[in-house]
Amino acid sequence: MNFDDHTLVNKCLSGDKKAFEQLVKRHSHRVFRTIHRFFNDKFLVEDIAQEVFIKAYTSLKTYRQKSPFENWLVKIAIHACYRQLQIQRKHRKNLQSDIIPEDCALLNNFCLTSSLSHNSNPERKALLRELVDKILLQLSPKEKMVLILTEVEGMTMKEVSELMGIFPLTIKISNYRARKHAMKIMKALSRKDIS
Amino acid sequence: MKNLCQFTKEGWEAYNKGTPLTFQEMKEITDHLHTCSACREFAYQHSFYSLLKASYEGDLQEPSERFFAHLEKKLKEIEYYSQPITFIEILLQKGWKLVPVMTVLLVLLLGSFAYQYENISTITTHTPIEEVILFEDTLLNESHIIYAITTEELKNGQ
Repeated sequence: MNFDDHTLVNKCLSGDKKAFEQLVKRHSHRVFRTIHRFFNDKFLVEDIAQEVFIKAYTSLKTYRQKSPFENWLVKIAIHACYRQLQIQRKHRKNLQSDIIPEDCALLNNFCLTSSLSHNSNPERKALLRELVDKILLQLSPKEKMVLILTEVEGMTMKEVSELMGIFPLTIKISNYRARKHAMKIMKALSRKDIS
Repeated sequence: MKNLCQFTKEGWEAYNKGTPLTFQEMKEITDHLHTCSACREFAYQHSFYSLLKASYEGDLQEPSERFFAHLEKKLKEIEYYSQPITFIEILLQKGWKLVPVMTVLLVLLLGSFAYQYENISTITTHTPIEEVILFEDTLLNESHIIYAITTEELKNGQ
């Protein structure tokens, strides 16, 4: 039987544990996709996803059923990612040293040549992802989050504001700072490298 | 040089907006980018968003069967530990902490029993009663044992 999310939530609250399994299977792709935007480590993504579903399970009573269940889950996922980004930021002291000469060569190759010709090689994409992660690691957790949600996920400022539980004006400022910071990093990298 | 910079910037922007470039135009732009630092800076800054999108598009991690199995196990654990606990369960779970205390108490109890049993058996086996002096209570019409002469005392003529 295919029940809608709200029915499954009610079933789960009345003691049907199988209902929650159905909810997990239905929304796990969306949760994984959201977390994967921020972290490229397979095991870390699974750990955070697990944390998200456990949090959802234990606080299911607090879900008001006014908004879609998926949005509620994504909100939990965003908060879990934000916490993880803060932890990562705290444990990394020298952020500049992460970008190695090979990365600079790849960036150079992309910016000066490859961006003018679409190349969908998966290996190259993986390398680019690593490089972008290293660049974004230099931004603050909030800046990184806002930049990814707006630029990659294509969300509006209002949506980001609702998801993160932060005032829209703060999101706008963070977005501006993130763009400025990213441009500064790219400018610095363009000067650093030319082979 | 200025014209080439202008051409590069315009060509770059046009390409990003979707206008295709010829092979010759592309070659001229890339060659110029390798030599002009100002245009390179421009290209780096303007390619950030395409870099961002290029790196994130495509393959995404899918939840594995291992993930679902592990999550199910975790949820069962949470379910188990969230249920109210009974007194017997507390005893079963925490009872091992009482084992040393209970062992000491049991040893003391058994020791005490053994000591008393030994005294009783000494009286009954080694000192048999030969003669009983009875005190007769005439008022209540009852008799009480007031002294029991043992075999040893009888032999000694006490």
